[in-house]
Amino acid sequence: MKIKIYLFIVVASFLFSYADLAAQPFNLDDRIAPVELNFEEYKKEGADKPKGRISMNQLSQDNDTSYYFIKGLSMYSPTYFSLNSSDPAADIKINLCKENWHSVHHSGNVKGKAIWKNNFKTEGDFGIMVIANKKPAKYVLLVWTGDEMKIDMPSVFKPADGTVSSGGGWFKKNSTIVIIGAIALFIIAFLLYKLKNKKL
Amino acid sequence: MKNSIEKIMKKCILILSALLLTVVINAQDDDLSIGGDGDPAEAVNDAYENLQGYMDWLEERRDEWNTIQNFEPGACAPDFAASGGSMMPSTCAGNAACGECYERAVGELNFIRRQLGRLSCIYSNTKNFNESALAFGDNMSGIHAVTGIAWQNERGGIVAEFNHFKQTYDRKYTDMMGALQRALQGIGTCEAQYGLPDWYQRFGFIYFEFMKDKYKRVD
Repeated sequence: MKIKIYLFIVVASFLFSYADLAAQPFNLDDRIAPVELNFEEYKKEGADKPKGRISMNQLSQDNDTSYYFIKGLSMYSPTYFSLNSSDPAADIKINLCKENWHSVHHSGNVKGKAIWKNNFKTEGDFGIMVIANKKPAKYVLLVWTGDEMKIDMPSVFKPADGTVSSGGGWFKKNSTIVIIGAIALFIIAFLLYKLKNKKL
Repeated sequence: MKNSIEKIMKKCILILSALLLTVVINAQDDDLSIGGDGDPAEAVNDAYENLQGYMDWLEERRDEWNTIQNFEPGACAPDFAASGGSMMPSTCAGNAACGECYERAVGELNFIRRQLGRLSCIYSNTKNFNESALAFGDNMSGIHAVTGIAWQNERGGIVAEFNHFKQTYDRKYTDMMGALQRALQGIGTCEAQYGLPDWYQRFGFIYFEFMKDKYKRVD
């Protein structure tokens, strides 16, 4: 347990320095000022424990393109994204980016009362580009990330027998051959003895 | 004859009235939605309902981390495999007598393996992010408002920051290796109680060296 706490601190401090370095898609355009979305614990009504973290945003967009980013994601956790509108006139394009705003990894549209959703795993952060083809665009943007999932890791152990060379290892491995050899030797010796007796 | 014509006319009036009523109702429905922005609360509810659907789907796959797609193709995936030569013999594996001692020690070892995998991927992702940012900046600086000189300054900053990040990785790597060694020695303690003396010196050490090489930064 102590090791786990210690490692958690080690990894967390590393993640902070990583977050400083790559907190949002890279960009050289001063006009692009992405807004950070924040997570909070997601606790359903009546539930004892929170189930992951959520960022729920009701937004109204008057400009052509809005940029958002969200950080604090783990590669071992599932992440869910959705953008939906209840406006029948809505016409919205969504791009999800990572390295920069030109490299789009996931893309979708919301036309009218509809939803576009996606799920994935990623480390650190990702960027969200929302293009409003009809303004103002009113929509709900949701990002949820769960707890880290269980991962089946291959074992690094093998059974001790056969690998521990404590003198009898070779005999154990080749016992069948040794037995057959011994029987053959016995038969040969017996035949030779009989042959010798006959000659005499 | 006259009666039958009257009956047909009455039926026609009834059918037409019903049609008219349907049209009026539909027209009212359309009027309600035209020009309206929809109910914002409805959109929020829809978002939560869809999230719940995803969480239900996920619940059935709680141990299937591999079924979830990566955000970007070619994203780093931790490699937990060990080469055959570095695998460690164990008398405790599958031995109920070792029980709690062994399970706890192996739990710690697996936790470290998981964190090392993550650390390595973070390094690899950051390296790719920086290389991509530099390539992007080099390409864009000629045509963008940011002048070549300004980009060169920016570029220098990115390179310096990444060099600092490399040092951070090296420090964390050293810390993690210390933790890995302690976890393996913990397994050695369990093995010593149940049949394999000097387990760390004979087997754990080989795995430790393998992991040291595997996660050492080489660039």
